[in-house]
Amino acid sequence: MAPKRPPGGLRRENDPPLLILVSLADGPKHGHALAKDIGEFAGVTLGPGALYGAITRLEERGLIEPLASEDRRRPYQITTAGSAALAVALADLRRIANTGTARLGRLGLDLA
Amino acid sequence: MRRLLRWYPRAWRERYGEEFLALVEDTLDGRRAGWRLRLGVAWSGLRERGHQVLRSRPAWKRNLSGWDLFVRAGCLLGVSVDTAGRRPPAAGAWQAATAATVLTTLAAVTGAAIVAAGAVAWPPFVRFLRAGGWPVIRRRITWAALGSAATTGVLIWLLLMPGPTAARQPGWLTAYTLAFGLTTLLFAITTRLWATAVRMVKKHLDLAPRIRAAETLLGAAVSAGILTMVPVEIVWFGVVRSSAFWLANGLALLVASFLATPRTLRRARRRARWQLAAAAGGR
Repeated sequence: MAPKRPPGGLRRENDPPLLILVSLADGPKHGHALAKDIGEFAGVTLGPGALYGAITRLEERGLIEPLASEDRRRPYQITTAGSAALAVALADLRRIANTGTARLGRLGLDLA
Repeated sequence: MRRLLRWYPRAWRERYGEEFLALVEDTLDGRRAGWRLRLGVAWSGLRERGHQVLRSRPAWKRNLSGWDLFVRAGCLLGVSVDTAGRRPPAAGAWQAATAATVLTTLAAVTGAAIVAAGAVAWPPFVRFLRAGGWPVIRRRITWAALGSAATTGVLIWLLLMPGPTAARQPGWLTAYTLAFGLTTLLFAITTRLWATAVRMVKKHLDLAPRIRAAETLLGAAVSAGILTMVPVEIVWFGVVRSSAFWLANGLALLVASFLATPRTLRRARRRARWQLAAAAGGR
């Protein structure tokens, strides 16, 4: 599992909607599977309230959609609009990461 | 466990309640719910209630906020005609001339954005009409055209009236106020009618993703243009009327507009990128 907080106490990218979209990009998941997956790849623990708050907003915006379910655990999948929104958000993050990496490189720190 | 749901609004409980409880049960895995979880759920439930209150504003309030831009556009036209008819004081002549020039430039840029938005959507619009789409949009376009004719009529009436500084006949003030108010009101209604007609037409057009993205950007430019013209107009009005109150208000609004415009344009750019990315992903 990834560390909870990086050295120096800088905040990691832990926006619940973004994390949910990243998790669903791997395939449909229900609430508990989402929370576990996010914990594993991002080291972020999303409580039930935060998770379902984000699911509600994402569904309202048409970025995810529920799938039919036989039991109480309803799975969700990412929509085409959700994939597009995720691609744009990741491109923004990549630009920030690339800029930061290049600037650290000028200070003599190699992150590769 | 079910009592945790009481913090959430009823509609939310009906839609998400069962799956939410299933998640809480999976998370606890047989343990008792601790205070952190209870607090987190309570906070999320109250936020959801707040969100629902914001979404369920009465229809008249939603409509009022929808009219905001058009009322501003109406006031812009009415006050411009009134202010143009007044002579500025000698001390504020250059400030008035500068404000008028800035306003004219902004009007030209906003107008160009409107023309460009129409031009990029013209070929799909012609295709839509050739495919027999006119009956679908006829009613809206007719109302907007009637509104334009009525606005032009009262505007001509207002322009032909003796200006505020000219010799006044008895009853001049009543007629002038009526013409001024009608021009403002009709222009606001007409711009709203055209906006509704354009939205309706856009819904029926088969726009390429690039055109759709361009329309989003141009729409934001038009909106930003109108919202910047309003404070410039108030500054002009304040200078011509030698009113420190209106001048200060106009300048404060102008600063607020300068701060808000980049955010509006950034949001539009992000939306346009979404539209392009969604189209690329759907192919």
